[in-house]
Amino acid sequence: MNKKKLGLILGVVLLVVLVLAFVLVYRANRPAYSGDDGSTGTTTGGAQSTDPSNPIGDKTVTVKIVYDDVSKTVEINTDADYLKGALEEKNLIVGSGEGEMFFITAVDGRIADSGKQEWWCITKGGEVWMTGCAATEIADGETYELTLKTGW
Amino acid sequence: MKVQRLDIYRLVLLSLLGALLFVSQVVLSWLPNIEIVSILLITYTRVYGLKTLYPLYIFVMMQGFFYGFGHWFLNYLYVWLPLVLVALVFRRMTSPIGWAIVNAIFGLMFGALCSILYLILGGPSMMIAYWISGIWFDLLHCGGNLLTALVLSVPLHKLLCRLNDQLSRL
Repeated sequence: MNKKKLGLILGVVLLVVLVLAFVLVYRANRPAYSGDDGSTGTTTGGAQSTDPSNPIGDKTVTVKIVYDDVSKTVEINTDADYLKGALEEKNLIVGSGEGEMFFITAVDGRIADSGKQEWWCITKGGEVWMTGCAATEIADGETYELTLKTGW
Repeated sequence: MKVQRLDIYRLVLLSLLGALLFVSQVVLSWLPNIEIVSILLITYTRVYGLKTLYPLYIFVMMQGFFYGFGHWFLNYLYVWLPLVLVALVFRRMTSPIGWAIVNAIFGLMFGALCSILYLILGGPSMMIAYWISGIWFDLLHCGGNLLTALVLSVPLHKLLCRLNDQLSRL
């Protein structure tokens, strides 16, 4: 076998291994989305909420995420007492600060750009929620919205 | 004087190639992570080597002017460089399958490369969250890049070589 063919075969094998590894990582971590955005033009995507890998908790909360052209709904089955715990179970948020001072800096991989005065607003049923996600107790059937806002 | 004329021609050509990158991105922006910027960059690198950095950074700057200089712009400053460097290493390769593999692996790694910025901005947890949340689109990017390179690598290379020869004869 000449060097060229060997190189191509090794390249194909490397590509297949990488794709499989990525699929496995994705399957192990995918959130339970039921997006209504068609996931077009975004950097994120997800599986359906019927995902069997979605752990069954004793309560279900619905979180609607809105940013840029994206609007998606995530159903979370969780045992967490607070919204922060539920969101973190799905790797949906990143933030800074400790305890109740936790401040969301990114949702669904979308970072709020403070240079453009962007921030993540929590609302519950459309009403602005005055406590942070770490201080928000959740109950079965509740719906929250996480919306990227611009302007302080 | 002839050398100067050639340089000007090539400068204009490289600028137009940068504009072509930008237009191709805008035209295909409605498709999730399906793009021909990568195969164009590979083709430019095969023909022009490191001079590809001119059209590349014209493209990056035009992206900034068009979409605004958000944090993603920092990604764009470095994320295409590995592709150019790899294409430079393999620039003598003629196999479209070989280029398809290079292009596909780049598409697959795009999110991981972008996530390096978030390692600096928000630490490992932000980096991993960003990368994992985008894997689905990296897989799409991978498939799209595989197909675009399979279909376009040979004709684009021929076209650019012919254009380059014509310019060299001026």
